[in-house]
Amino acid sequence: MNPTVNQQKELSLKNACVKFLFAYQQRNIEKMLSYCSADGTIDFEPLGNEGKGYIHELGKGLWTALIDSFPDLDNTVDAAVAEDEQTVRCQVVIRGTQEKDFAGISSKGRSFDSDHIFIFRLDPNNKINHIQVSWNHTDFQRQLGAL
Amino acid sequence: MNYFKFTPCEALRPFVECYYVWQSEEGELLSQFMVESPPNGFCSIVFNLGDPYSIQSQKYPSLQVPLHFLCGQNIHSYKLILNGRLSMAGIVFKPTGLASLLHLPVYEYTEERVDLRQIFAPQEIEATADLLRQQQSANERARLLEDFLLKHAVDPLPQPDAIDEAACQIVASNGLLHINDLIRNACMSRRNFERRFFKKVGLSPKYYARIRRMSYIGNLIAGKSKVDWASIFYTCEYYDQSHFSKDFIEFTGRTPQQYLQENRELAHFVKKPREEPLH
Repeated sequence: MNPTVNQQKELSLKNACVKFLFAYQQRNIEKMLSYCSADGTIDFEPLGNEGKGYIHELGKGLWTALIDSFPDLDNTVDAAVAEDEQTVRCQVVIRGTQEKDFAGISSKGRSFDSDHIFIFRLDPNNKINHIQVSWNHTDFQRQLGAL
Repeated sequence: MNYFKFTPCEALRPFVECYYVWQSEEGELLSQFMVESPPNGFCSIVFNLGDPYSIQSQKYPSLQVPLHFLCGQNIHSYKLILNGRLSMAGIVFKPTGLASLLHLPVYEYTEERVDLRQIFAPQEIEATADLLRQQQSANERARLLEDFLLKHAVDPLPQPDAIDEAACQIVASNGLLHINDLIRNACMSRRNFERRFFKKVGLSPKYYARIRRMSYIGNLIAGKSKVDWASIFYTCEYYDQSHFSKDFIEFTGRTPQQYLQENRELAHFVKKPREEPLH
């Protein structure tokens, strides 16, 4: 096989994003964080200002709580598309069954299955330095019986 | 314009859908000629032996495509804007073909057209294009494409694995199947199946099945001015009309009726080609 194929693999933007989401599927937060820069930021868009912060603080905290409340949390990456030379858009389905209260939603033992969009921005070292996550929060609450 | 399709040799058939040669008539020059396609679930390698052309897609309002390129999975409709002399020769891969035969990281190419000179040795691409230009016969051009593929494919050629077979089943059923049945037949956990499928096809199995279903609908209505939507809706096993419309808008950017009235698929301009064996 031609060596340029391997070079292209190393230069891949999408690789870090897909590996991040595979680590999320394994519920391995430390591994997820290893693909992110130390001062990377995150915006959980539906949560407004409360959803903005650092990946290693707010992101880590929210994912820890989510996995604790939904022990079977799982995801499926539908597609990953590079939007420009530093941005990748991933369409992801996230699902799980609630076993503990989460973010003001008391547990009724229900499951959710929700389309999410992750927009990753990467630095020149292919580390994720910003993540924007969006989903239909009203539908998420409805599925869990909060509305 | 003429469009020819050729069947690959037996050993490549699990991974290659067909070879094609698409060209204008002798002396025929196109001017801003537009052809569109909904996503069809196939990746391809294309050698453009005619004049350069551009595409329009959700991602690219206008993009002059590399002369010779690899086209990854498309998840939205796209349009080709053709000018001058049309002459292309291409390899259409089955969904896992690029990964299984060439070990290429296929999810990297979703919605992209990547210059073949970034993937293979540039001098080899130029040499292959020169050979293709020298051949006037469509069959001989297809034969050269097969030679190119056999030269670059892994040796020995792989046997189809559970993911190759599952992806081909989605194609054969036009996306009208249950993914859980495929997972059960593959004897894998859902997580493992989905991950391996994504690495080989570039999309999740469920999403890929939705694309194949949309491609099937495109085929059902291609070249028609009136269709029985209820029949298509039923044939394609949609839960409800809103789900049907949502898929149409997501993948083609238009409602079903708008698509029917406005689409300019290739079927409008060429006779449906009969696939021929290479000889």
